[in-house]
Amino acid sequence: MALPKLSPSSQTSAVILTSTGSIATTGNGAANTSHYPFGIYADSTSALFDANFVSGASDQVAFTYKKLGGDILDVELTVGNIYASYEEAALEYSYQINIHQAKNVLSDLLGMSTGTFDHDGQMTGGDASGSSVNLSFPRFEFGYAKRVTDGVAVAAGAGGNQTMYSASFNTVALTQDYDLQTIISGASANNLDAATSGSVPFAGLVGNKKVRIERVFYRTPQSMWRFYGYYGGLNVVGNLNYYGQFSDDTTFEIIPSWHNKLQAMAYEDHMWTRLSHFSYEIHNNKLRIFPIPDGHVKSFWVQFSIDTDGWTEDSDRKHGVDGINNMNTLPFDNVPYQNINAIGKQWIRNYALALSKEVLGQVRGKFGSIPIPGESVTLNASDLLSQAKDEQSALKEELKTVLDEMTYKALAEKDAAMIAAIDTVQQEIPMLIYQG
Amino acid sequence: MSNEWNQPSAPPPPLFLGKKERDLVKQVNDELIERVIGQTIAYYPIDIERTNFHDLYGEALAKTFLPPVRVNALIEFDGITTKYSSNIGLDKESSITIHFHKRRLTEDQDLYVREGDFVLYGDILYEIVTLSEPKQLFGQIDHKLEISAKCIRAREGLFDGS
Repeated sequence: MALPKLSPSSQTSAVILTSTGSIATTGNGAANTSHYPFGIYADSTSALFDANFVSGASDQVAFTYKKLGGDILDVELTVGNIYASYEEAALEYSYQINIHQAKNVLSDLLGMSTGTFDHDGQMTGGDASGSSVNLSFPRFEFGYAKRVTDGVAVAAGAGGNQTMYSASFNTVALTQDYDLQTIISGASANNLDAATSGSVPFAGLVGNKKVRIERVFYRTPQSMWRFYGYYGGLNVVGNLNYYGQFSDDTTFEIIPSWHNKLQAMAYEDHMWTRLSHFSYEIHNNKLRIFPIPDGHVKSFWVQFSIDTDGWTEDSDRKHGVDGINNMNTLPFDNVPYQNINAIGKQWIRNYALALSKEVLGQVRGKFGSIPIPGESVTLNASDLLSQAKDEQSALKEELKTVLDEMTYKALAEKDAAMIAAIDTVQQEIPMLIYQG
Repeated sequence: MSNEWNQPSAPPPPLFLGKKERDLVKQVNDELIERVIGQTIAYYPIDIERTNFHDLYGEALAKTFLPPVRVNALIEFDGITTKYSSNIGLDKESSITIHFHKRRLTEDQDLYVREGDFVLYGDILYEIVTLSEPKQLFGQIDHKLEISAKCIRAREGLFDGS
């Protein structure tokens, strides 16, 4: 008697990976957003929704099925696991690319517009919103260097981004000490300069804040008039004093403007330090004038800045204090799927496969061994987990290495090395002697 | 003082080893037993309704059986032992132990193992003489993993499967 054929179907809801995915919006389809933890690329309501991502996720099922031998033995994964791994891989790739680009451009973007971000990392507001900054090749702006230069310039009294104010006060005969904090904060509070009685641009700004005195002077210097005026004209070298180009028997040398300017500065310095009638000292808030004023000079001026917190933005203009300060505030969204090229797409596939292996390893490894009738069996969980870990590490390391070799700085160094190498080669080429 | 604690009507489900875990075990067992190892027997359930038992001894020379069912199971072949009986001569005994996957058997094949039924393993018919359920699943009393059946070779004339 022949044996009967009987292959009963299992009544248990077994979890077996199907050989292919689909792009359906329901059930096991890759467009069904319930399969994705974040749905950044697969949710049709998301700004980064991409039908190509859905197709890619669907194809990834067949790729994983084949790579894990699903056509021979069961793979205890759902298509949802594969879709989720694919999304994670795309986001990991986006993360790595954004990190790389941050290394490239952060110094140039410091102080520029940042924005606000939602839970997916997508920009929801800010001047840079929607501008895909992470996909741009920005101008070289020396953001950090400029900021340092501003600070140095302020300290050197040579410009910078800090407002300099001046205030004046009248001297009192035989009074040597003057409280500058009282004078300046009073002018600020009353919007009234102590000497000129005019309004002041620093009204309401001082209070008890520290003011930093940069210069004290008692009269508008006439040095520029002396230098540029009278006979001596621009671009003319004389003896720096009283004759100009119309003097007799003099040879004039034509010089560039910057040379003339430097001479003017030297001259002005000479006027300030050697011709002034007064000198001063400042101790705490007190300005002490030497010698004791006798009333001959009516007013003194102080040029000052108001110390503010480094993170306080001016009300009338922006210095970028509220802008990009480090990697965290870079206006970088997730990289759109459509802007990932073939190199990235293959990386995503391989990384998603490694992630799927990890999930499968977790499933198969929940128990040390699985009981079977009369025995127990140990599955390949540890192999899968170690493979998954190694593959993920290798993929990330490879990507990081390649990207680090392609930072703008590295590219410049390579170009320089190549030029140097070409130079060396050129030096070895014999110079031919031509006979005419 | 009111009773702040109410005893639940049923104990809570297992925290770490619930239905999903049990289903995974079944899935792995099904695959392993049927697609990897692939040992099969034909199970001959005796039709109690239609077999004419002896009223006193409960034996029947001619047994009626239901259509045999192919079953995948893990089978331990205990070998063939030669035994000498005085005044009779040599006798060869053969026995096997069949480890049935209980859930597959009861849930998917609607089959129940009983003493006295016969199985065909290879080309030899065996009679089930002893049954046991030696293993729980994750130590849960309600979930037995296997049915172990000790079988001995059916002597000629006892049952021939025809």
